[in-house]
Amino acid sequence: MFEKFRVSLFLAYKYLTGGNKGITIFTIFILTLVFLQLVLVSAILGGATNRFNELMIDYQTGNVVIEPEEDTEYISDAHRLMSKINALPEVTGVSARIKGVGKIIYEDRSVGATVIGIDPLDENTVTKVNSAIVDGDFISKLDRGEIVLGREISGGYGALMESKSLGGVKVGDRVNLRIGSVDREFRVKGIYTTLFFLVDSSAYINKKDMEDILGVQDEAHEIAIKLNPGEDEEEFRKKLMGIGINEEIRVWREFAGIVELLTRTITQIGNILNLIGLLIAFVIIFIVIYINTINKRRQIGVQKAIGIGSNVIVASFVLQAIFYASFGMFLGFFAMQYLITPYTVTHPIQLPIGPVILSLSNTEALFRAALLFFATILASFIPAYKVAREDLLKLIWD
Amino acid sequence: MIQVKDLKRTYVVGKVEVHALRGVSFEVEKGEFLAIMGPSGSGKSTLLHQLGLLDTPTSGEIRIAGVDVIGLSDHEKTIFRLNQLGYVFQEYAILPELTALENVYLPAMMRGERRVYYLKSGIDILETVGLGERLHHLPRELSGGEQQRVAVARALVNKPKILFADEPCANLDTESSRQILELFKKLNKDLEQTIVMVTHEEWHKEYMDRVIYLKDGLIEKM
Ligand SMILES: Nc1ncnc2c1ncn2[C@@H]1O[C@H](COP(=O)(O)OP(=O)(O)OP(=O)(O)O)[C@@H](O)[C@H]1O
Ligand SMILES: [Mg+2]
Repeated sequence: MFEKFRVSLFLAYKYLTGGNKGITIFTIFILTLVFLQLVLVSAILGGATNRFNELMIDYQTGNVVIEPEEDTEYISDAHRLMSKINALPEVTGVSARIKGVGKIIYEDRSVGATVIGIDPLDENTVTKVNSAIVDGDFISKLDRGEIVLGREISGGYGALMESKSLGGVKVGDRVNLRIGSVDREFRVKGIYTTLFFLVDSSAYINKKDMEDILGVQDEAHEIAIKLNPGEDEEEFRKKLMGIGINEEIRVWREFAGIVELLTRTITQIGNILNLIGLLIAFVIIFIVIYINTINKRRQIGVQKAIGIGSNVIVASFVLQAIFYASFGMFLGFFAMQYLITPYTVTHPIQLPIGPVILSLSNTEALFRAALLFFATILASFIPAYKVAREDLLKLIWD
Repeated sequence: MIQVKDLKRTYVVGKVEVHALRGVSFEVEKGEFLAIMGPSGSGKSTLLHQLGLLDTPTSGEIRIAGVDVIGLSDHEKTIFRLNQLGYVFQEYAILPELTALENVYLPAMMRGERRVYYLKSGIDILETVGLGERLHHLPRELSGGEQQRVAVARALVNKPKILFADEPCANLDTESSRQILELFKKLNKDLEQTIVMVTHEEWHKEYMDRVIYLKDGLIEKM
């Protein structure tokens, strides 16, 4: 078995080194492009997912969120819990939030929104919403009666769902917030956007205002926790459970369901595109090997005549194709990981969700490589098998 | 070494039947240097193809070294060719991408020999055919006669029971032809190599032990 393989490998090597260099380079180049096409969608998707995740963590959930125990509306004694968590070494910041779901009304328009009551000093240690302000300012500690709106609520600033918004509220305008039976007037202090519509559909007010509206004190709907870079969220969750926190502890990933859905949709589109790439690779390899077998008909006949088995001959062509594909994939992978991806670090791709840096996981790359590999084997096997089975005198004399 | 009995080979081209061999019987002894001669179209190549297991006869018997070779499967025939037979074609049928040495050791490599051995047998046999100085030349860097000697060396590398050659000198000048024939004679004498060679040059006869004359697919005299 190995002896035969050795002969196939030897012949393949000789075809490659002794054959037409132009064809070799051209074939490898095409396969490099095909591989890039195969992984590009994955890489963009990987980058976009990273971006989504970043947005989730940086502007909404932090790393870990504590929610009330089942069947209770609030985390009570929120202050004590916060100090307890803040004392842990993994923690960068903690913010207790009270949320009210209600309506924001401006002139004759209104939108439903989740309004988040925060202590800005705390919130700024967890999220960066204060740095996403595009007009006006974020709420500060002493502000009362002030509201900061996401652009999907205010409208303007390139909002994606303009028609559902308040249609262009400006800083300084007055809006009404109605939660339950309570109706309060707020002055718009600032407008923010992260470019991510899910995050941009909220509004922030001082926690004190929210406590007034809801009639509660030192209670929270959620406590968002930001961890030091590199800390593992699952580990931290276990640690919290270990120190006797009975509330629901969730990591940010559990809030990213819609992102998951988007990812799967784009992946499927990517797979369809991949099929075209694979077809191109198949045709190119098929043609190259087919032409090769035609040019070598006599040689193949002679090989058979001197006792080289047909399976050895077939394998020599398949190995040649495998070399093309492997080299193409290697170049493609190299170009992706060491040229194209680093380039997007300094020059991100501008997508509607913001700047995206390509990110190709090795598993994805390996999976696409395997697909291309099988297409290659099939595309080279067919013409090689066909010619190797022919009558050897026909091969030599026709 | 070879027993042939009532060998027939009929080609069917469209509706026409071409009787290339119409019942040929003869024997070849071990260590014989046999020539097959005859006019063009008389069936010389066809006969050699049958003996060399490159083609399958329509009817008749061939035994080589006691083996009924017609009963072998395609796969068995390939292995038989590799291990027991050497074949030299009229045109230089060596592989253009391989050097002289690589061409020669390919069949030995295919037999699964270890690298040191097939390299050594390759070099030895190339020295025997007088190409010890041309080991790493590609076919295009060799003359026609040299290429044909590479083909002979390749046919001999696995120490075949029989060496077949179909007009190996047809494309060579007299000088190169003599070199090949001298080589065959030497192999035949020194190594008792059995050789069956097709030729249509009368002057080649002086090198051979015996001649079989073919005409219209039948043995005319022997
Ligand atoms: N593959 C084939 N199909 C049909 N007819 C063939 C085939 N091969 C040979 N023939 C015919 O069989 C006959 C014998 O051919 P063969 O090649 O054996 O002659 P030859 O004695 O070798 O001639 P030459 O000296 O020209 O080489 C010829 O009439 C030839 O046309
Ligand atoms: Mg002939």
